[in-house]
Formats: sequence, structure tokens, C-alpha cells
Amino acid sequence: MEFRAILLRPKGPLTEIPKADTLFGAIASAVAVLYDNKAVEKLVDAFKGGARISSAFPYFNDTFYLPKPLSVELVDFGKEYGEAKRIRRAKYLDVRNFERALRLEPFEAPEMNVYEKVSIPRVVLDRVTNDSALYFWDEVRFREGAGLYFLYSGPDDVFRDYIEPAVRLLGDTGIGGKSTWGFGLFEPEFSKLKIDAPDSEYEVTLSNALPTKKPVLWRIFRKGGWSFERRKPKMTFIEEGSVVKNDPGRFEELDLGLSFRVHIYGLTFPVPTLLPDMEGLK
Amino acid sequence: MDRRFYGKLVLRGKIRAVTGLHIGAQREISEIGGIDNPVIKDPHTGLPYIPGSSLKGRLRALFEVLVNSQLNNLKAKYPSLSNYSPGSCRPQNQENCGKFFNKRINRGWIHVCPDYNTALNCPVCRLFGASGNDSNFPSRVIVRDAFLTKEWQDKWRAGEPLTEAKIEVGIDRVTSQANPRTNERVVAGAEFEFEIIYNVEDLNQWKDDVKNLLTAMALLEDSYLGGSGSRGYGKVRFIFEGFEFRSAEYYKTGDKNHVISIKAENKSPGEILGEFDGLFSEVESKLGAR
Ligand SMILES: [Zn+2]
Ligand SMILES: [Zn+2]
Repeated sequence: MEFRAILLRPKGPLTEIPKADTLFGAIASAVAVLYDNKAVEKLVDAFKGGARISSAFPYFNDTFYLPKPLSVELVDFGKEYGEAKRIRRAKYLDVRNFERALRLEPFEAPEMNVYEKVSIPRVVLDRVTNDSALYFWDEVRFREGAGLYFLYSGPDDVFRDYIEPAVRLLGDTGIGGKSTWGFGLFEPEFSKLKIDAPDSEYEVTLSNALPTKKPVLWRIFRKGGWSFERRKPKMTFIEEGSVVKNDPGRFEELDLGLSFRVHIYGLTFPVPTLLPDMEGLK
Repeated sequence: MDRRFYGKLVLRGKIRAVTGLHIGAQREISEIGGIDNPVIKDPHTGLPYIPGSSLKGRLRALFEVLVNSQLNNLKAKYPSLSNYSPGSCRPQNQENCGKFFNKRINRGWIHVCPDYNTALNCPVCRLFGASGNDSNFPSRVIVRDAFLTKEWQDKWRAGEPLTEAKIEVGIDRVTSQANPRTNERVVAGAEFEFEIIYNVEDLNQWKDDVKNLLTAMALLEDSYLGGSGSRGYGKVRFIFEGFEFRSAEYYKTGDKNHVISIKAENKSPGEILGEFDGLFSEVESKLGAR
């Protein structure tokens, strides 16, 4: 399988690594800024018709990381297979090892030192008395040569007409919180990524998703947040790396009291994966 | 909340530390025994940088103080300023009591308009943003981290020190005991690259906003950045490289013909303000004169 890879070469820190719903929200608002809300509806329709984006994952130079499929956590690769612990803890695999994991073959988990989460102080001074007040917040900083990328699959014209312009604008606008302080600014680069996947009716999702039926293997998390300065209700997503069977996922349309509906992206980004032969799994 | 978009103006250049610069990485509490007080550094490279939040916060603070002092003169131009009288709500200890410094941030009082429409008509908030109680006005300005210039990174790799330890002796106000501690600061002369991005959303306001931004930069040159300004730390100069206007068409097409580059090499914010109309004439004709 070949996908378009959109590299986001960071020009500063991020508040967090954006997931597919955050990326889609950012792309949709960039499309609204550059065109209008009708264009956003067209974009949403294109995705309902089959276009997909993944969550963002790290890269370092030529190494691209993907989320570890949950399916391998059920496989006993044997005690002599040394790094079992690290494999269990690993969140990301490079493409080669991801492909092995899809086939339930022994794989290795990388030592990753690609980004760092740090706590940063900010001082606010009283304008009259000069009294100082201090805050801390967490940020993600990438080492040189490292950054984030996400994948796109779908029609070329949707990519050309919406994704490319939106990503260009977002590079100078920022993705995620604290963009007013330069967080989430990046230099985009448009490339491709091949993933060699087995034949299977089961699929690992590279996006966080809102499933339409019971997934096969899943880990959930709750996420709310803000959209167009309005608070979004918390929703339950399945994590990247979860395994589904024939589930496109869905959009959630929210009425936040704006002149338009906000679309929460919850589509799966499916890559076929083998599943261990276990009672009750299939 | 109908915000138009015409393009982005990118301001670029260098910040030179004229005196030693201390932007702290931890709580600045003077503890007995002299706690080492380091400057903020990138966790991967170990190189000091100027956080966008510090730079933007300082520009905003200085511009707020200026607007407060000229409040009555500016009311005709900026309608929201009629809501305020000069000074701080601190004595009343209640937000939005009618004074200009109307919002409490922990122990400090700063200026923030309470909603979108007030912010839109206030020179501070429409430029730097306002997070109000009911509605927010997102900032038109993005100030990114300023990283060391290539030249200074090379100097560091060649073994030249970028920071120095300065021993400061504080006197404990209660016990009158001398309390020495070591402050790390970036050496005088060090240069950082700045980038400030301004969003053009209003054809009648962009020139005024950019002039206000340049004014704030000029004010910072006469003030200080980071800690211990009263002891002579943190004097900086902005040395411009130039501007780039990236139009909406550029973002739609990726075609660099829709980008206007303006050279302003080695100019100061004050010089740019003096030559503003000449420098920005091409941007103005592109956007349509208003
Ligand atoms: Zn819709
Ligand atoms: Zn205001």
C-alpha cells in the first residue's frame, strides 16, 4: 500500500502530538479560512466518500514511526526473544518492524529519542507593581532532524484542492494549542510512504477513531477540548493501533451554537493485519 | 466572528543581546545557600533560546503600559478604550472595575478585553489577543521561539561560551543577611533569530496593527527582556532582515509569485516605522489601498 506522507518539520515546540481528529479539525478550519464553509462540507463529503488521514507520528531523518498494533500483545514470541518487555512497552515501531508486527512475526522495538516532553515556566508581570506570577506548562520538543508526519489516502484532487493548501496555511498558523507563542508551526513537505501489509480481513487503524461497531481489539481514551473557541463534549475514541474488522468509523456532527456544524473526525485509517488464532477473538 | 483572511506578514531578523540576558528555566526564588539559577535551554541541543511566550508577553506588556498612559488621546481612534480609565483594578481587587489593567493573573493585573467585540476595537487585544469570559479574540500575532543564529551556534561548537555565571548578592530584607547566588546569563553580543507572523484580517487595520507591533519592539529596545532588568540585564536590539507578505493565493496554490519580499536589512524597528509607507507600498497596492 502506498500513501501520501505529509511531513511537518517543526519550527518550535508543540503542546502535544496531534491525533487525526485534531489534524482534521485544523485542516477543516484552514479550508474555511482560505475558502468558505461550503468548501468544508465538500471536504467532509470527500472523507465520507473514502478519503482518510492518520494521526501524526514521529519521524527521525529517514525513519518513520507507526503505532504498534495491539494484536502483537497477544503473541508470545518466547522467552529467549530478549526484549519482550521493551516490546510490550513500545508505543511506536519503525516501518520495517511494523510490517513484521502486522504478520505476527518477531520484531524489534526501537530505542527512541526523537522528542522530549518538558515543563516550561512563563512569568507574567503586574503592569503597575511589577509583581510576578509564574506558570508552568508541558511542551513537546523535537531533536534536530526529527518531526511529525501523517498519512493521507484518497483522491488526488481532494489532496491538491484541500489538504495541500490547508497544510501550507497551518504551517504558518500552528496546529494545536498555544499557537500565539509559535507552538505547532512547521515547514510542510509532501512525500510518500509504502507499507507492505498482509492479506487479512482485520485491520489496524492508524487514526484514533469513533467505531460504528464493537472493535476486535481496542484501547479507548476520552477526549474533549475546544473547537472555534467553544467547548466540545468529551467523546470516547479507540486509540491508534486498535484492530477493527470492516469498520469505516464515523464523523460526529456537533452543534456548538455556531453558524455551522462542527465535524469531529472519527474515521479509521485501516491497514490489514493478521490476528493470532485465539478462542473468542475472531 | 466573521474573520476574513488576506494573507500573512512575516517579520524576520535578529535579536542581539546588548547586555547579558537571563530568561529563567525555573522558579526565581532566592534561597539561602545560593541556588544556581540557569537560563532556559533546548533539552536536545542544550542551547539557550528566547521562548516566544517571553518575547510576546514582554511586547504586550510594554504596549499595554503605553496605551494606558495615552488612553484619553487614543479613545477617538479605538472605541473600546472609552470603557476604561487609566490605572489598575488592583485597589478594588475586582476584575473589569473600569480601569485599564482589568484582569487578574494570579497576583498580577494586566489588560485583557472581556469579549470579542471589545477586543476587536482595542489596539492591544486585537493585535495580541484576548481570552475573555464569554468569547475569545484569537491573537493576530504569532511570536515564535528565537533560536541562536547559525553563526553563534558555530561559535559554541568551536568552544566559545554562550553563557556566563554571574554572582549576585541579594540582601535578605528580614535578616539583613547577604545572600549570594549564581545567575547564569547569555553573554552580551549573542544573537537569536526572531520570526513574528501577523495575520492580515482587516484591510483598514493591518497597517495600524503592524505599526503598533513595531512600536512595541522599539519600546522593548528601551526596556529589557527577561529577569533582573533593573540590574542592567536583558537589553536587546532588533536587527531586521526583512518582511514577507504571503497572500491567500500563495497558500491556495503554493506559487511563490504570490509572495512579496521586502528587504529591510539591518534596520531597527524605529527606522522601519519612519519608512513604513515606502517599505510597504507593494503590499498595500496588492491588498488595495483603503
Ligand atoms: Zn455536515
Ligand atoms: Zn483590550
